[in-house]
Amino acid sequence: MKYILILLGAYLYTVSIPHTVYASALHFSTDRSTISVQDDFVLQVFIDTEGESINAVEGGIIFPDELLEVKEIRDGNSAINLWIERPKLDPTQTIVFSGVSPGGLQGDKQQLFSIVFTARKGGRGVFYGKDIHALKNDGVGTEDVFRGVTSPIVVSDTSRNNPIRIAKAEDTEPPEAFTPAISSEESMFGGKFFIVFATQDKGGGIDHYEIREGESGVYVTATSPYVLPDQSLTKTIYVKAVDMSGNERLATMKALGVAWYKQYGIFAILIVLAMLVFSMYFRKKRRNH
Amino acid sequence: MRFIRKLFLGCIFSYIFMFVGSFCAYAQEFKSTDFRALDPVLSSGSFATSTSFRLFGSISEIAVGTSTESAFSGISGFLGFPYVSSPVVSATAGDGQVALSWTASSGVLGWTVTTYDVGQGTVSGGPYSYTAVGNVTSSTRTGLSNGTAYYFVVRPRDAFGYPIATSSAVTSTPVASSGGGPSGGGGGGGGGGGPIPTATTVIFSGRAYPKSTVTLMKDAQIVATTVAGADANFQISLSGISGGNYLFSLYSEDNKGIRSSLLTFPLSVTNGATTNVSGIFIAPTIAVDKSEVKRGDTIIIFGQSSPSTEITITINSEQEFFVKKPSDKDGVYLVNFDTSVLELGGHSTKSKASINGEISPYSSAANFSVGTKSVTAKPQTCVSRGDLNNDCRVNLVDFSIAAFWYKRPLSEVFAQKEKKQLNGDGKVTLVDFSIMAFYWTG
Repeated sequence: MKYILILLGAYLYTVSIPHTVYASALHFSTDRSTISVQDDFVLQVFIDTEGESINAVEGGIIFPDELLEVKEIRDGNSAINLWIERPKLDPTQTIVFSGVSPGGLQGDKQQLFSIVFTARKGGRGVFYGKDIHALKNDGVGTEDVFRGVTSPIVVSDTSRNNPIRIAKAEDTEPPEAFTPAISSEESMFGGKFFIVFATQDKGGGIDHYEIREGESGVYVTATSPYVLPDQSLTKTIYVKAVDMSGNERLATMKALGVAWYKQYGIFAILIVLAMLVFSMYFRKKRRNH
Repeated sequence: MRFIRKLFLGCIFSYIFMFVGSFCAYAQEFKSTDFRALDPVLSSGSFATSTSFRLFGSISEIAVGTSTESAFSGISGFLGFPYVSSPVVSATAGDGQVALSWTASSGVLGWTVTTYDVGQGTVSGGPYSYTAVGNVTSSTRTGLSNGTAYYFVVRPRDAFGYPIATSSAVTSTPVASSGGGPSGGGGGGGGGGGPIPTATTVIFSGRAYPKSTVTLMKDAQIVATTVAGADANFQISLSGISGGNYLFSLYSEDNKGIRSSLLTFPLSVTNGATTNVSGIFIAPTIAVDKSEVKRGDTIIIFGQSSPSTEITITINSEQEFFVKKPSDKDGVYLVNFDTSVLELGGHSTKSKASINGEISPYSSAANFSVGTKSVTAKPQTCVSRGDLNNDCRVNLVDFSIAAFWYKRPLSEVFAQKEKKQLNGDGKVTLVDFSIMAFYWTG
């Protein structure tokens, strides 16, 4: 009896010491509890860093593709600041993504992105993360232990009279202001000048970027890094970030290497001076007559 | 009655003295009008026992932190070495309420934070009335009067329920929400205009170093810089941003140009509201004068923080060493550490600052090795890793360069850079991006 008590005491003592086991986990949450065939619904993907500071995440999300079809992927207002690969559907029906948040994320409900699905068929399935790597903000990128979590989903066979439709997110705010940068690297693009740019949209997410060189050029769709057609850097560069709802944010990069006679300010002064000289000359002529 | 009280107090004090070990062999005399405790002599090393008590020798301060009140409590010793950092608190004004959120205080070396208290008051500096809110990082304080400025502090408590740090006060003034329908005289047009919408504003305030430049990054890009005052306090106001979730980071540069580590926290900004964030206590900078030190020689550990703050320096080793030193009126601190206690090999040192219960996070680590000769450290001006284009910064340009080489075989030229600036495994993977994210400067 005494030994049992001792053992029990030792066991209770051990389990009562607060153990801190750190890991990360992916969580899913849907916006509806019941889903019927032909319904749209939103699946949010969160990361729980469980006390760790994580600054880089990559992996894939597996969904029951015999039941569901991806309608839209929303990466706006994400806890990830810079995407290396924006979340997209790959040929193996996995949603792959990778990105970083300099400074580190910490928290139990950090939203990475959300997916709008359309239910095509009734049945049961699961969502889970595949090959998820979460790296710690420790300067060496130590991999954090990852706990796999599976989330079940049930789609009911009978569709509603009015299937739920989810339209594109209503967003009237433009993307955040940003500052592009011009650089060159001997190992890239043969050492040519290129421009880099990135920003975030707190609504539906960034759709694409456009660039125009100079006042009279046309806007072309561009991805960062973008090799500048005009390598002389004499034109002002306009970079536009366009979000999913068409809101735009413009960033301007003044020309870096502009010849003095091409700058409009100096040009205007020259014209005024020329006019002054001309008017003085005419006045003199009139006086002479 | 008075005699009993004397006796009671005497017993309490001698009970406490018994735990102070050889420290008391210095024969200090404690006295008041009621009692005297002279030359308590206690032997250190082994412990004495009897059937009624056991005595352990330990060296500690008698009382750091709180005591007094009718229920006498003395919290001594280990609280002198704080292991949790103060929370960064943000307050968003609402209608008759203020939404608070704060960063979790993470403990090290076995410290755990089990719950938080929110203190609320109407005068800066207190008194505050505290409410325990549990182990959460947000709380909405309701039932407040619009137009009155309120002050809030957040205190984490340890596993025993003792408050172990405090945040600096954050202030917020609840405002009636705009857009309440016009009273009377409706109809189209005319009359005074509608309610003026409040611009979405975020105000950051905290401590850095005297006259240092403080840089603020929003979602990894620099959005503002300011210069701290002579008292090391700074304030940055950011307006015209959209409502949403952001990741803000701050860092500062000391009088020698050494950069501090990043202080990062998430913030949820509400459209049209003013959010105040305070408790930003930028970690000290740290450097050592030798990259290699001959065992037994002195190594100088120095850096800068706020003026007249208590700096705790830890030197890691098989056994961790702690040194406490106050910073001077310019925030500079300097410690001469005797390396005879360290074993041969690599070591690192880091520091944190504390003032009035507010505790900064740890600084970045300064590395050195203990060997057979002393080598002066080269002055470090640039970031040590992640700078792929040699501009002494780690930002979007370096990120884009790495993104170009991601999942691509590296060229000879770039492979050299990857070896020096990233993890040197011959390819660009998520680990390299994680390294850049750590050394990010914006």
